[in-house]
Amino acid sequence: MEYFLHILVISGIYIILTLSLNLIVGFTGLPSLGHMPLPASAPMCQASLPWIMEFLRGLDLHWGACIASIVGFVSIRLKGDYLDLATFGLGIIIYAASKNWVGLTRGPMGLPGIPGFAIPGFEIQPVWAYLILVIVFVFITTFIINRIVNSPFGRILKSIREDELASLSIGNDINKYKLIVFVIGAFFAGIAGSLYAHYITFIDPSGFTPVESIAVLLMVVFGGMGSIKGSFLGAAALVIFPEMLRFLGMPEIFYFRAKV
Amino acid sequence: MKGLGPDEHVHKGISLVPDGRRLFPSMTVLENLEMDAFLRKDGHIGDDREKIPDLFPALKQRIKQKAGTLSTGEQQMLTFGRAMMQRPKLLLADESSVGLSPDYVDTIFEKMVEINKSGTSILLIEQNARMALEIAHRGYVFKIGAIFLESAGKELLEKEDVKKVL
Repeated sequence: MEYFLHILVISGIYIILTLSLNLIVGFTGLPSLGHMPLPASAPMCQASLPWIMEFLRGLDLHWGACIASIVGFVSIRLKGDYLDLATFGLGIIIYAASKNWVGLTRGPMGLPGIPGFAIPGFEIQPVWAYLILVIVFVFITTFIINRIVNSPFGRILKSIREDELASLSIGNDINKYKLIVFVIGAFFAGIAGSLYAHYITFIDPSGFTPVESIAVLLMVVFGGMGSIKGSFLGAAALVIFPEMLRFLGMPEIFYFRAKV
Repeated sequence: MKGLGPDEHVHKGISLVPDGRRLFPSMTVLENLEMDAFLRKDGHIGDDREKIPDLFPALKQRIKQKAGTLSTGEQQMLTFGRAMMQRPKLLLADESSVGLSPDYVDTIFEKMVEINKSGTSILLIEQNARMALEIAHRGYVFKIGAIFLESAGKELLEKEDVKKVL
């Protein structure tokens, strides 16, 4: 039973992650292959820099957004395949840095002992309680992203996807919008990363490889680019189905999401 | 105009009808029109949403249709309608008759005269020079990047140098 709940928690976290990437890739049409550093950065920075967290406890989730504004700022002027390559490259750089910068992230030794999630006065310990927490966050994320894509702002994002030049010619500052959407996406990716870290209570860079970025992109594409329902389906399916293969004794590559 | 970004031009009241139409193909005609009104702060967007399709009757019947499914001529009209949604002071039209059937070329030119009469200046860059000069108040002929001839549109048509190339 615990095992099923665990899979559902992981699915929920991946749904948030997929939604965040879908906002960038599906709704705005910016192909991004470097999504994984974003969820990783949130808990890693929090866990590895406790002295900062003394002051910035509330900013836990915003680390992803910080990194994204850097990634976005660097890559915003690129288009299509070049943006793919740039984000992929940046993903690799951040992964390599987090793996080798032992002073900051303890490298491959990972960061153990991340405290579990706690609402003041109530420690969220059992898996079912955590599942409820994740579901709440999934709802919040879905609600906000749904509102974003159906707003005038969302219409501008779609116009960038449809035809960048036309969007520019009708007076939209598309670079600004691209950067904003990168940061919003990263913010939700940071939420997913934090949920994951506080759930597992241990993270190391090996869970956030560039291949994982592609796996999340796969979930977006599998569910349907620019579809919120699709993100649910894609993430859930690609977390749950490979889990079944585990009992067939397949090589690990078939269940890329087989962590823990 | 120098030194401003494309989006700032639009804020200053200069709208572009881009070369090659450049609509948002998977949005409906109405959505395409609405896209352009985002920057407007006045409260008359609703009026224009009614008025602009009246200017282009062909679009009116297709208001809910995806822009990508329109014919080339209809798409060109939609780009004009879209630019007009910004209530520009100056409309820049780039090669508006390229790839259109002769019928639609006539319609587009008629519409341009109509738009102009309603109080919007138009700067037209055209390969169909004869037609363009016929409707233009003022014409400029460029040769290797510099203004070569400049005069009222119809006078220009009479010039020897222009006759030679037309």
